[in-house]
Amino acid sequence: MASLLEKLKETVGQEIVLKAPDEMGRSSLRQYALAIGDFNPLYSDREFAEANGLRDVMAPPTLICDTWQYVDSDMDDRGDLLGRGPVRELEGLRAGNEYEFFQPIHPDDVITAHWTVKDVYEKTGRTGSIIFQVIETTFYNQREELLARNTETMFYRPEASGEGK
Amino acid sequence: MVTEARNFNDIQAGDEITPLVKEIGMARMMAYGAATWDFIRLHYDADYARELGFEAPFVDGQMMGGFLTQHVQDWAGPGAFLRKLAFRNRVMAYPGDTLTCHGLVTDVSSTEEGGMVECDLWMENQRGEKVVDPANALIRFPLKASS
Repeated sequence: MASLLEKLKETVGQEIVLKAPDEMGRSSLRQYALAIGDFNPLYSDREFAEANGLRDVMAPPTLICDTWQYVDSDMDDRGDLLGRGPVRELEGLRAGNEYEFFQPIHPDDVITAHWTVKDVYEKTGRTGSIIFQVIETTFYNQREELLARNTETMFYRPEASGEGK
Repeated sequence: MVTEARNFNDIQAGDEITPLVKEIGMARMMAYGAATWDFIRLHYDADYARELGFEAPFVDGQMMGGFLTQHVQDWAGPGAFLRKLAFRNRVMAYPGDTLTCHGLVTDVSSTEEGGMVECDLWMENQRGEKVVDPANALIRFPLKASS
């Protein structure tokens, strides 16, 4: 049976493209802002957004990097969207994120996400071995304009079995 | 206040980013899961989280990105655009935690893209533990803003 490291190494280069079935929508912006408790009018008040040089309200920047809104599927009992495909098999914990934002995202943007595993490596420290996996997701709109890039690092402890997130 | 523009010319290295305090509750964690279409029960179902060996449902690590964005955007004002944000999760956050975002400006430069401000950020819980550390942001300001 392949070790966890071997299994994760096999994910390097794997690429998934997911295209949203519809626009971001205004209410999804407000819902994310509510969840954060961030009532910046840039996200909800069109006149205020226009007065600040935007063509419409903008999404809270990190929304695009964390939402699975563009997956069009049912979910399983764990709450995992089936349409995430091979991404569902990854059970690491989050080590950190690097976001890059190229332009504001608006309610009429239709998102396509390009998800790919960039690297898998092992480090041995005081607490034993940890495997890191670097995943890059790049987001475009319907005009193929680059919107944002999310590089996230997940980690796994080979001795621990079971699930995680 | 969130809606006031900050003048790029007034910003200097060493300036403090106004701290932001966030109270973590299960309702907000559930709302975050719903808002991001991430319905994983680990973030709101206490029995399920314990079955998997966690002491309680824990905050989705990416939610920290939302808090840090609010932290810097509130300070920078609505004319500024967040270009980059990076952070490391160190300690898990749980319902009942009080998280405080801190930050300092580390570099200010005028470029073709605009007025660029870099800052170091970190987040502490009520026990003084670093929940997020290190973190940093790059913010773009309009260069002409002088009002």
